[in-house]
Amino acid sequence: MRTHGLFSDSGQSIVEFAMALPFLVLMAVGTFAVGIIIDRHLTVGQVVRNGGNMYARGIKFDSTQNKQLLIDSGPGLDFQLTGGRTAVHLSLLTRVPATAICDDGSGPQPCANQDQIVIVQRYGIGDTVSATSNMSSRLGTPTTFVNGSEGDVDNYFDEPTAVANGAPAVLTNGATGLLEDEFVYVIEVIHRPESIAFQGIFAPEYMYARAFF
Amino acid sequence: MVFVLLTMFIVGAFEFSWALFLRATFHHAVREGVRYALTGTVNGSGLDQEIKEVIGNNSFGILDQAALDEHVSVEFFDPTCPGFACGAGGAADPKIAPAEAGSIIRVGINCYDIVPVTALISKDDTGARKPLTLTVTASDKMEPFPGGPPSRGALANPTACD
Repeated sequence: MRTHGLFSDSGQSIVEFAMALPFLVLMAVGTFAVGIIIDRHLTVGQVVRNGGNMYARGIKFDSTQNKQLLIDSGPGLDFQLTGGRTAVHLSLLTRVPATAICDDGSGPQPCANQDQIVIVQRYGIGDTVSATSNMSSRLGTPTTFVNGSEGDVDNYFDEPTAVANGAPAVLTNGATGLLEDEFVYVIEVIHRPESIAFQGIFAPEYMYARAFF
Repeated sequence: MVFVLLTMFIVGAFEFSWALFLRATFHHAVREGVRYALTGTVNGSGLDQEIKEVIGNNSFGILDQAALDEHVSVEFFDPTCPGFACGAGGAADPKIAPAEAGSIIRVGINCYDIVPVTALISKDDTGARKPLTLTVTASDKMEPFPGGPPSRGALANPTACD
């Protein structure tokens, strides 16, 4: 027997739905957020593979065209020549000989970066000059270049900022790491997701991927 | 009301997943296409057609021959170009440039439209649902081939973005 008036149950389903709605919305937002983040991770991986292959095979990223070709391989990352939400750092590393001698005009003396892993070349694309350090290269940031603000690093035998302080153990470990006269090409891709609502809840604040060739 | 919302959510989740799957699949396909161009051999039909075939074989059957002709592009760039979009071998247009050793090859799947069922609020001026458009590319440096650059044959001429 249906009840009426004060004891009617006609609004029960609406109340139940109203209680369930926040959880449903949260689940929907979470599903899409996770999907977007997975997509971004895959795209970051695509940029790492593309850029790393090209860089290690001798393509110089000193021209707008070559940078744009790499940018085109990362759709959806807000990846631009300058600015945007993605930064790419391309670095060429080597180890300075332990017996290297330098002469800055005051006579021969041991080089300041003896037996250190140094950055010989650096190209940057995208938001590489962001105020936030998380968009910077994890290897180090050379400041002196032969020409302009990127390309071959000037005087990397002596220049303190050329030292790759952030080089991983696989490169720094004695005999099994990077040796004198050996070179390694490194590409680092850093992406900053744009969604404020998702940051810290469903998504990392930054995505970082790198590859060595 | 609850049923409608839940159905929308479930269908939307499937469509979203489908879009992600397509993009990941196309990324894989264009990379395979580029890799083939660098290391593969030409069987007579021309490099562009063979790249399309490789992309088709790596796209889970999503791209048939008509779709490959409509969407796939193959371009060769001069890596020493100081400006933008210089064709390899001095060609004015990378789309018709020769597949020279040392040039940068870019293979793309362009303007592939997905029209979501659940995108009821996103319509164009004619009232039709706006599609989600996918474009993916991959690039690499061409290797030298014995006997010179491989013949491109019938050039890839995608029309999807026209």
